Amino acid sequence: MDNKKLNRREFINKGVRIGIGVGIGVIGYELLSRTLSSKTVWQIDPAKCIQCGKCATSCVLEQSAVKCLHVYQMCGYCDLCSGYLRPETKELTTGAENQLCPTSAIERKYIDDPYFEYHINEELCIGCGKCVKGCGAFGNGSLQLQVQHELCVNCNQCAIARECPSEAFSRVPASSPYLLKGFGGK
Amino acid sequence: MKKSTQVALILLITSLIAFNLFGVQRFPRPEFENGYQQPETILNAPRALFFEYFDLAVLIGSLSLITWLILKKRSRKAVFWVMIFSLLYFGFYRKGCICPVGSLQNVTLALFNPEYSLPINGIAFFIIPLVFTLFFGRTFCAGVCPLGAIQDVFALRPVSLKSWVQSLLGLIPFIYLGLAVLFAATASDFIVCRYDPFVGFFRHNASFMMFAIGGILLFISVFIARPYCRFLCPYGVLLNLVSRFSKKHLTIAPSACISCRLCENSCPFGAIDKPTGAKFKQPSNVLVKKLILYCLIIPFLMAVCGWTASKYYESFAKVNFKVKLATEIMQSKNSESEVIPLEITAFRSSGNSEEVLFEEAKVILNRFYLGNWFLGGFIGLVFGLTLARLTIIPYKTDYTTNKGTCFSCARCVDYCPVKE
Amino acid sequence: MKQKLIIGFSVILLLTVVYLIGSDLFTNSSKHDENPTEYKIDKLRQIDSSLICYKEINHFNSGMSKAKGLAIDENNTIYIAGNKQVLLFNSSGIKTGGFKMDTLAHCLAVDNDQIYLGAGNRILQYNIAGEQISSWPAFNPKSFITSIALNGNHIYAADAINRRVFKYNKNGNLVWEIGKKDTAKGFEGFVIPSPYFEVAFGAYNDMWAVNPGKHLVQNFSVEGEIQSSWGLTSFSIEGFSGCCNPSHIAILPNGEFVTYEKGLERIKIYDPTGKFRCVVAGPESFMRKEDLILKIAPCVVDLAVDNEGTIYVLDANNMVKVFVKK
Repeated sequence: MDNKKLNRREFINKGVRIGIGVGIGVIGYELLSRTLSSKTVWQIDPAKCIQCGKCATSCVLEQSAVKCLHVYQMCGYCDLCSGYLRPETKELTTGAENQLCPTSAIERKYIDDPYFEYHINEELCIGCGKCVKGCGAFGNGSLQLQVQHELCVNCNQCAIARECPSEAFSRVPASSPYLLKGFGGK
Repeated sequence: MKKSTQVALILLITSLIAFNLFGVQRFPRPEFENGYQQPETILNAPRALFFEYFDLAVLIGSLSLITWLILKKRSRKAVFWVMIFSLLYFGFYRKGCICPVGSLQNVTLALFNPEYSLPINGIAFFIIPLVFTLFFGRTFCAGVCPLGAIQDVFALRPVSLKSWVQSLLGLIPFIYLGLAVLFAATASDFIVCRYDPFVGFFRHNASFMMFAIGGILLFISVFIARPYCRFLCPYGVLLNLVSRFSKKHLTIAPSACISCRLCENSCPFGAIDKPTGAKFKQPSNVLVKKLILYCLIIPFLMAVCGWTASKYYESFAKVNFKVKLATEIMQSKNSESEVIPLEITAFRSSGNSEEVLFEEAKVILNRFYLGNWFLGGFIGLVFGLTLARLTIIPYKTDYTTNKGTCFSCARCVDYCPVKE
Repeated sequence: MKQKLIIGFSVILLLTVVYLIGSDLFTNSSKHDENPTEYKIDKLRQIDSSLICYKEINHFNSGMSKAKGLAIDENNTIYIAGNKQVLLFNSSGIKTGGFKMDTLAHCLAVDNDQIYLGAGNRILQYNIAGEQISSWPAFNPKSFITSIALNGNHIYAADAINRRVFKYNKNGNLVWEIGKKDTAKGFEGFVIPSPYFEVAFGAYNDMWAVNPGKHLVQNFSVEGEIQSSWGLTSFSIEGFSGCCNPSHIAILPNGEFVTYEKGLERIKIYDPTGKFRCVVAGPESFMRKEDLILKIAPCVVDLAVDNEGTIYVLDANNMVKVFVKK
């Protein structure tokens, strides 16, 4: 009699097991038949970014993976760089008191009268976006905040994305991992 | 820790801008007379796709190896070393991200939101441990999951819990799973990742609260082995259910149990079912009566819990960004407060219409209302079944592993005198 | 006993963890924390209201989707170029005519019912009936004409890409170009970091061009030689700020200058010597309160004045706003 019971239990087990197997298969098939991507990474859409400063503080990494990138092709090489200098500055010098950047991460280099090159020192950049706002408001917008993929650990749920007030973070295909803004023109 | 595996690519930005052109020609840089060379913007490529598939290969490899070690070799020592490897690879090297525990949310999100494109790795990491469990038991938990591994190393002075305490605390993962599915299905948040207690240790970085939670859990691990796996892990719920019907499973004795009681206290997770003794051999008509009783109680519990949960759908929905934003905008219209939250400022400045946002928020709220009914019903069902399991104890004569809660860690094997 | 204590303690700790997670998840954490690195451009955009000497008397929608250029003829008819068309309005904003074109024009100038348009690297001439009379290519294929002005029998086109102003006769033949650095004559060349480059004529046939990278408005003779400059680099109300300002100018019949400054979004009046006089409209005229904090895209697309000194402003929402003296 016990043997019979055991057989019955095994039969039920087997049935459920097949059921679960089929269930997993159906879910797998269902998922595979949807939009798939080989790999996605987090990125900021500069068009939506409002430079709130949360990128500097919300990243799970001590040094935020968000950095300011300089799109040289869009830069006007201005002497009076509104991403580099504080607005109330009287003299156009490299003195720290004149610099907008809280960590002096922007390096200014004389090129040719009256043009200057600006270079972001990523070791110092904290991704606060202050220069991005200055450059966007008064200049060409060649400074843009982006997730630096060498630093980003690609969390399943980005901690900055959750804090971002303008929903500027999204997942993008790893094959084109940057969303730099093009030149809008007049 | 810099990832040497990352391939830094210098891409010409011109090609990138070409994608984003608004139809107006790009403005040229100034004319420099001294032959100045314009630097290129350095864009570091993300971790190459190859390595994602390598992760997958490591997952399958370590799962196969540990399964073989558990079922064929029956060696606790070997299982331990595979566990250490997983802790180092998936934990400290991969920084805990891409893990099957979190992937259950990606899968849920994809099932409920067809526009979400799920990475293939996400599917694989969700399904492969389930398939292994279906055939061989929770070998994934034994030593592939980095979250389990980090706690397992701390299990130094395990004490055994009363079975009713264990059952009661065992309800938490079901609630956690329900919440995780609810928030993932409504595209609100990935709470399992948000409250992943050990990822901060893997990255050497987290907020104070997350370090505190992780620290407390590791401290508890010393006495209550693997507290996260047993009393929180939502993926563990799925593995638990699947494992009950697994084709093969770790057994304490390689052949027949001789009821020597040597293994009785060997399991730090309380996953060994003891023989019940003759008094539990209840007549079948008592069992049938109890079954009928529970058939009545469980639907009642489900309805009560569902109704209760549905009362709180609005506060649940506030986890969703859109709902929260819409609520704040509504509130700001009624109050004369000077401080406008940044979210509202950003939203108004974006030029998107409030009506569209309110419509979207309404849809999400409705989803939450329905979702909360389901969540409550699910919790009620689990309550009822737990109650049933505590009172209806099947008669048994051997020491066996509980196929649901056993992590297949193979500790008990060393205690069993039966070697053949 | 000791074991029970340990169990009890551990279970309490575990429940604490659960409580911590739950409370963090469900407490509405809308933190309004100060941003220590905030760049407060709304502070810079504040304007002393006593400086405002104009008021808005009218506004109308151009009904166009990409309005780019604004011009007014001697009869005070308003012309708006944009989205492959030109529309005509009377001074009260009623549409009186218009025609379609093949290309998107960015700027235009009107004289004697002849409409000259700058469309990328071509200059087009239309009559009021919408017939194309002539067209000729600008300096080179890369050219981008941002401003056109008419004087006598000549057409002046500002090319932001080549950083030159070109003077053409009515047949489209090039008379001269200016913009080359000429230190001997005291001209440093135009510095144009972005596509904002204006040319305009005053009441006394005096030609003015903006040097936006240097924040200067410069006067040239009809032969193309620099005569004088004015302009101050400053974020204060007297000066021009940012990288390319003033981005648009117009000259009133009495010789005063109307300037538009992107970024801070202000339209100001300067006297004929370049001394700041007063403000036509501040950012409040073009932005909502929340835009003042965040918006960084220019709000104004073009400026024009009629022969009575009324100022017309075409904004980025394709609206025309009309300002007169208080």
